[in-house]
Amino acid sequence: MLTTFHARSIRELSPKDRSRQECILAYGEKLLVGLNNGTLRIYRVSNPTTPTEPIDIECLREVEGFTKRPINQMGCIKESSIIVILADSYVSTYDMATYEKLETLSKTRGATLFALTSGVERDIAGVPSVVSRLAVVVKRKLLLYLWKDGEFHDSNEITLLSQPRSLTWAAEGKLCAGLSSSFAMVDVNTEVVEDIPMAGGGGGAGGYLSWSTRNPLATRLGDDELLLVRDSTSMYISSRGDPLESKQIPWTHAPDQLGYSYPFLVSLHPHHTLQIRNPDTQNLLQTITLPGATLLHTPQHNHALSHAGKQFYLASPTQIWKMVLVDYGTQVKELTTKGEYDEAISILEQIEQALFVEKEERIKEIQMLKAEKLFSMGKFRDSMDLFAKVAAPPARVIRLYPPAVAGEISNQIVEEPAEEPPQDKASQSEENGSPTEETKQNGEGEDKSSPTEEQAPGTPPKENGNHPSTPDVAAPRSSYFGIPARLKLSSAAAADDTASIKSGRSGKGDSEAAAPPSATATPPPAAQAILPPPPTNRLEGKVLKLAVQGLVSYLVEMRRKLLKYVKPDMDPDALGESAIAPGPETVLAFGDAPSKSAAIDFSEVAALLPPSRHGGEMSVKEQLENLMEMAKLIDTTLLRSYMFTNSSLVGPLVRVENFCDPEVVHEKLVETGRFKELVDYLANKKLHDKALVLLKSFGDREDPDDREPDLHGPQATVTYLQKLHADQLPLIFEYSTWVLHKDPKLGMEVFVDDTPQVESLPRDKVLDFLKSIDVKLGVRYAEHLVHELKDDSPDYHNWLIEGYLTIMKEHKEPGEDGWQWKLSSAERDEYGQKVLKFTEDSHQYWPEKVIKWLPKDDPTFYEIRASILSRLGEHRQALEIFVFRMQDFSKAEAYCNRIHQLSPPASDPAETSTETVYSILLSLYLNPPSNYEVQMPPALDLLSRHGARVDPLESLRLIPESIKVADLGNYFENRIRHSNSRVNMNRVMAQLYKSEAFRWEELNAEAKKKAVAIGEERVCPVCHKRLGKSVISVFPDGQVVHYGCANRLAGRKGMAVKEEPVDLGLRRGFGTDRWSSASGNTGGWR
Amino acid sequence: MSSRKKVLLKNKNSDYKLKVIILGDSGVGKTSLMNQYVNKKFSASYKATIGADFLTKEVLVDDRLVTMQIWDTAGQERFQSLGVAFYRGADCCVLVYDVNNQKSFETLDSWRDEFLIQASPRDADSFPFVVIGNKIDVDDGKRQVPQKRAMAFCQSKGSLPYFETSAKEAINVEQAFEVIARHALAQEEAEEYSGDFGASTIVDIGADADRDGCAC
Ligand SMILES: Nc1nc2c(ncn2[C@@H]2O[C@H](COP(=O)(O)OP(=O)(O)O)[C@@H](O)[C@H]2O)c(=O)[nH]1
Ligand SMILES: [Mg+2]
Repeated sequence: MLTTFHARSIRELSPKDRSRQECILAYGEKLLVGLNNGTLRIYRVSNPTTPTEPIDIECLREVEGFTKRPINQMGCIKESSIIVILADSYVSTYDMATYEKLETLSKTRGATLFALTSGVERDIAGVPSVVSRLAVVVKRKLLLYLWKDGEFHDSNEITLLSQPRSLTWAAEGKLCAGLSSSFAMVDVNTEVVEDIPMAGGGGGAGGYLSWSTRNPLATRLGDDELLLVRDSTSMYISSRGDPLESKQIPWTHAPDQLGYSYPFLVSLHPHHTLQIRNPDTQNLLQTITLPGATLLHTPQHNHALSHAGKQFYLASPTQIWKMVLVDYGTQVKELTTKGEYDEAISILEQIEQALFVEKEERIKEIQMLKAEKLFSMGKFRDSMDLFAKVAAPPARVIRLYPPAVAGEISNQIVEEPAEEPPQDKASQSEENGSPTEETKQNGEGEDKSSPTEEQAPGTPPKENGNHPSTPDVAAPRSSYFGIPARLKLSSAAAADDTASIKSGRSGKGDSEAAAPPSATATPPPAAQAILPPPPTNRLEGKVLKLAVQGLVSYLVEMRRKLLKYVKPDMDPDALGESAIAPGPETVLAFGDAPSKSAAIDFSEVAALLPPSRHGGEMSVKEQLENLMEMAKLIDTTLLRSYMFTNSSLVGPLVRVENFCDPEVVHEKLVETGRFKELVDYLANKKLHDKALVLLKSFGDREDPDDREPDLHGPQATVTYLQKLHADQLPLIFEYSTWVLHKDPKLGMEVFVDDTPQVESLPRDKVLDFLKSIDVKLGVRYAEHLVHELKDDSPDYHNWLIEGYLTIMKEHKEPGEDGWQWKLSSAERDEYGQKVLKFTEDSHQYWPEKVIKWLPKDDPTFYEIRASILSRLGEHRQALEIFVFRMQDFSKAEAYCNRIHQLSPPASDPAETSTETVYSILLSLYLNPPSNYEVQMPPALDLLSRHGARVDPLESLRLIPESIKVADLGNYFENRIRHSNSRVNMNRVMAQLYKSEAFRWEELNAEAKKKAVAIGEERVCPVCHKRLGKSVISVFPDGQVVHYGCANRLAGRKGMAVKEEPVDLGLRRGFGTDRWSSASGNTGGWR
Repeated sequence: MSSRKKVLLKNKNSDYKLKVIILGDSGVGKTSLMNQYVNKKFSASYKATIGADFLTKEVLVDDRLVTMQIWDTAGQERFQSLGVAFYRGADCCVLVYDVNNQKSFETLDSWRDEFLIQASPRDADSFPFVVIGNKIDVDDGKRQVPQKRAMAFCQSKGSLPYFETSAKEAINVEQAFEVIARHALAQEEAEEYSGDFGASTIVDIGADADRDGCAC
């Protein structure tokens, strides 16, 4: 059971004193006690700062005959310095300083109860002001008063169903009245009364006793909640009266009185038992029995400061106890020590940050403790979800696992010696023991008045079994990650007495305990609580697997959070200043630091960031470094975890952005023979040369390596190289070499694949490289450039020819069979054909350059040479090759045909004197150089077939006289027919042109025939004036406008007005063809 | 938690709930594909998806009625905004790229890897992915990723089914999702068969062990 309050007896009437205490009121340091004889005693009570500090109480004054009858109820409005008293059936006001009566509210005659409130309210105009209200119960009536200008003004009266037996102010202007059978929420402004239905009969016997004689009880809980109690049934409502989630308080006895002492619910039960509960969990925290106590006085609710009254009073007719709060830190620590984490968290959550500065840190810390407990119970998923929820520092979570997962931060590395049993006696008694010193105001009755504290039934058993619970001084000074400095205890030391081990572990803490508290080096309280969790039973086998699966989900979640801020290739140095937003959603906020750079908003990972080591704000750089360090731990552990539970995820992890420790990755992957993943990892980290060396060692070998047979051969290297960009060119060259030698075709894929990366490689360099390995590779590449990529650079076209020729000219080793070339004749021919075709097709090579490379006397190159000569326009030389060297007349003729087709003479050759290819050929046949014979039959053949394409005069001149005319018959016939056909053709054309001309004339005439009638009334549609006798324009669609307006209408119609002026001679004229429609052919225009 | 769900599903016996997640760079047409499939609608205006959203559709797979829950995501933020919970229990992941956008193709691999990490499926190698090359209706000249290369990628990742679709013209969308449903169902059944270690507590192990015992 927790100690939340100490009951300190501050006043006890001596046995001789016959008077009895009837009513108390406390505010500030004052304590007012009303006695049964009408005397009012006023005390000043000091506020102890610790539960054991002596409490001074001093009787300031005693006003005898303050009231005629005993006081029934007291209240005060501090803002107005008045005390409100109900006595003798009247409510009266008194001056707070002088205790003189100010006024008796005469209408309150018969009053049984009142309730006061003061707080900020807004008037109709929304102007806030402090308003104090008083509600008085007189029979079934509620009398309402408003404090104004130093006195109460009655505002209104509301009559209820029955007489209220309790009265509690809820929200501003709302009053909760406990009636005989229900509660009602009264709106004092609108006078609306709403019944609050209450689920009948909570625990136990209450069920049918709905006419209970017990008073209905109500109290505010904090700012916007109320608790209603009837018998043992409880109900939470909002301050506006709406029922909240139904939670029952497990009372064993129905309470007699109820109150709220921030943040606890206190209730006084029969037999003078006080219960202190957490209103959120309903758990009983403490029970105190105070002999004879009948009066519970909790501080009046204060709107402005709900935590204003943390202390409350209890009184019996003869004794008063001040309930002194144990500070929250101690309470939370006590709960934590007992493993009651939920309770501790719940209480912390109800306390305002201002009252408990490290609230958030402490909640987080306790949640981590809870997660650790869940972990030790084997609830791994729950544990990890909780760790993830509070963003626990990764090291703290990871160390729960054995080294196979956690690496060297595992807390299972070192066998921890059994630790000394709990605990620091001194602190224990300080926390739990009853106060040893009490002020002896009254000197007597010490023993019988000292409070007894009992354990509530049903509290969870203590958790800490054989593990020491959190010792408050044994905080290992740890690095931020909460890792205790790794313990390296020799066995001798371990055998030594445990105390020394403990001091060895926590030297710092001990010395602090010994030394007087000094201002320096107080470890932050959060750190104090961080202790290595109880070394859980070893995780093994299936259980360990489950535990690791839980860990994975935590790590993945944390990883996701961190990746918003840090990237593996980030340089915190650079970032510290320039403050580049790492993620799209990262908000740039201006830090209060004077530095000009904007700070990164770390709010989402703030929980992860350690407190700064030197007080002030951490620099962005430090924060980033911290996060990166953490990310490294997370990813490395994730890798190990995958190895352990789900190795198929190793690949994905090493391929995505990750912070894995390279050494661990290397070690783990090699250990398990995952070289493919290792390659992926290296690639991801841009360690391409390492990756490629690895690939080569697996690929370039006789037999596959058993560990990774898939990597055998060049394919993996090729795939890898294809993904590299141009900036890695030297690497690409270096590591493609072995592949090109081993499998040239596959190796070429590195350079000819159609991916953007490959296509981005600098072509000239690649060509040079491939040439240097093998001309054939160069040729293959050049072919790729020219044919597939349609590269027009002359260099590649020239080189392709050069490459072909180089291959063709390659000599064989001085030879057996007398064959001179390396290539077989068939192969040479094949290349010859390629070159020939290329020289004919390509227009990009430089013929004058290329022709020099051709051997003159090798017949293989004759045709190629001819083709190049043709490109140079040297048709005579080209034809000489066909006619004289090759004596292939059909090829000569084909050559002529091709040239003729490429550039047919513009007009009839008969009329020009230009020499055609045919005449060149003819002249070669008929008029050869001296050492060649005249070739008559091919000449005649040529003439008969292409005679028309040769200038007749020229050909006749060439034909030797010895030729018989009969042999030329074909030629002439052909020639004449050709001429005739031209004549006829021209006649037909002439006729056609004539009829075309006629057609146009007709069209013209028709257009001119069109007329428009202009009457007196006809107006121009543009300017709306009469056309009268002005010069007009007629549009093709019949619209008539002024000549001057034509442009405007034309613009609207999207037409253009022709430049030439209209026929001005025609007034009332005809439409002319001034118009040409934009679309060229508008209707009605023919 | 998921084991309870499964028991429920088993009892109904015809009704399976399949969770399908669509991933890919932003603008590739994830939302459009989903809309085309579920609502038979296409909108040419681009509205960036915010956070994550899902649509459901009931389909028959081999006579079994299956409810497909298709989760659409906001591509640009990568995996950083959606928690692990979002990916837990996925039965199939659809990787979408735009055939006219080389980059969207190149990121497929890391979408796949990140998904695997976030979802932590028991056996990453057999987890069903379906690859979709979208927007094939766009002018041929603009195409950047040849079908051949996409298919080679799918092959290298373990013969992933590949579809070329147009959400705009409703080409192949139906077919792609049919295969997605089929694979998701197979995955769901496989998961069920092997028992779910996902909701793991010590107590669960016991239960699992018992069930295994009975089944034999
Ligand atoms: N031409 C064409 N456009 C599409 C297609 N699918 C989507 N779009 C357009 O591409 C843009 C992005 O689509 P959306 O579905 O929002 O992409 P998301 O970011 O991946 O969800 C929108 O303007 C769509 O209209 C398609 O198949 N063909
Ligand atoms: Mg979208």
